[in-house]
Amino acid sequence: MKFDGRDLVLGTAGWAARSGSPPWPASREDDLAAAGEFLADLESGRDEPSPGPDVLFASCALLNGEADARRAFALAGELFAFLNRTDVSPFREEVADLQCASAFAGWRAARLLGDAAAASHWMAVLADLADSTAARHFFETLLDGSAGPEGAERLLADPSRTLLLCEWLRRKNDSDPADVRALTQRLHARARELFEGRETNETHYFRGQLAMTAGVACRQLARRAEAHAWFDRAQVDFRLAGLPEADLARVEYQRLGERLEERDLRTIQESLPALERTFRDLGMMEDALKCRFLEGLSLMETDELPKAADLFRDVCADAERLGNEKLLATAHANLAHISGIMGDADQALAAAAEAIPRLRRLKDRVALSKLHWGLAALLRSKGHLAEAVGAYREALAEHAALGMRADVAALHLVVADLLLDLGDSTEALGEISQALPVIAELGMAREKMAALSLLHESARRRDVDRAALREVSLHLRKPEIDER
Amino acid sequence: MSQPEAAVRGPDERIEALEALYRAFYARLVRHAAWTFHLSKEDASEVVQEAFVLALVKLDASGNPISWMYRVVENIAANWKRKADRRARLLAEWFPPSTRKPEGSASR
Repeated sequence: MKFDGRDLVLGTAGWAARSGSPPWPASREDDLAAAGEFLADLESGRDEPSPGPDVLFASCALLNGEADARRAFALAGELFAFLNRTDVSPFREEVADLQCASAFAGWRAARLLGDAAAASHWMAVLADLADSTAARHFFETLLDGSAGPEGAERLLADPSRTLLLCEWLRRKNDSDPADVRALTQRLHARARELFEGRETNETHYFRGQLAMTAGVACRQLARRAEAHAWFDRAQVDFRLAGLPEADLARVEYQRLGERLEERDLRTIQESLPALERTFRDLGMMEDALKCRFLEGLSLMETDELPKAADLFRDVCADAERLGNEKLLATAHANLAHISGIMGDADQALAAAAEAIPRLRRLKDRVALSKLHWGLAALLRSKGHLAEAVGAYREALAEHAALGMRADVAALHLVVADLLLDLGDSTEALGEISQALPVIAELGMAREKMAALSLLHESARRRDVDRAALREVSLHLRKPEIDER
Repeated sequence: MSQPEAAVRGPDERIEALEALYRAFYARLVRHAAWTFHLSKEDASEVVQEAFVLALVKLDASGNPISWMYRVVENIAANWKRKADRRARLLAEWFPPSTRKPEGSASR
């Protein structure tokens, strides 16, 4: 017999009204005492039957208060394995809550031990849990406008939930940076109020992580000054959190991403080897691999395309070895783009065919829209100009839907250039006039201001200066993807 | 949201299975309120009772009723916790532990 949710809720409501508050066989204190015994059994390797969800939740609470971080770390692993092999609750969501609570205990203990690699492992476990349908539904329900200000408070009520939320937001950046920007601003402000006066290693980490996620969202949306301010905030909190070396290195990576956007390649080339070594020394191999993305993108900036292609092929192999689907997909997308620029259509399409299904599975709309931009460029390089206009406009619509204004402005200028090739100067002027206000708002590097003025002036005269158009458009944004 | 099925054989067992399912769902919500919001079991149970009274009056046919239920439990639990924290803070402020009389020693 299977019911729908309404039957279950109303049936239980009726039953509860008839039977009153049922007495609880065990208090919190009883559960904590039973949890102590259960953990001791687990430690001694005895394979116990499940003591019930109450005792399991109490076990997670005990682990989070355990003074001996080494013991807490070992037991969190044992408990997580126990939860995976035992039927602990008939409710799938409750099993996920318990897994999340035990993964949090493992993550926390790893940070107390200063073990960045183990903390990254537990974070990856949490990332999988954050990706589950139940978690997505839960956070989306609590974070929508109708949940009111209490929604944020409820998400910050329990540290394991807050950590899951941080990871969920980090992932959501790939599909909806504008929404993540708004949400993280709200949550960061609430976290400041809620954690004031009762700061711990974890609360500093949460605030730092929310600030960093906000910064990444702003980077995607080309809000550079805002991103910079968020990374400053992240740095302040991470300095006070349990594992500053690892967290500050992650902020440094984002700052180098900003340098790439500003075309400050020298700083990247000087700083990247040390940053990559830091990640390797800390055992954070996936973060070390991300550094190679920046290296590859800076090679593209200096037109060293064959070298960049070799590098991204290496990244693909390493990402596959690490089992990191996201890094693999993004590396293939960049490889598709480089092959397109080099005029190797077959290689570009083969790399795109590897990237697209993975990016779709990961719901990485940002990387998908960049990849579509790269494919439009390929059509153009092959002389299919009319088809290229259509493909660029599709990419433009995708970037606009994501709120990525700098990319939208750049695409308007690319389309304008192409339309001029096709002899349609009226349409081209329309595209330019849509781009110019956004460019004025976003600002340009000083050395490009002359080109921008020329473009403005020529558009006003309705006789477009092609050189200025290309210079401005090249400076804005490109379809390469860095790893966020 | 998933929920377990009630295993059924005869009519009496059907009622028992249903009751077991209701008890399990109720207990799940109490645990959720207790361990997420750091409430005692008694307080968490009160929270869930209050949420079910609201469900009888307000639950509508649209949306996901189980998600709705969790949301109501969490709202009530968060308010409960806020009030309990405020009470504890005021108590500590106005009646520091050193000035409090031991339980049962009130003047008669």
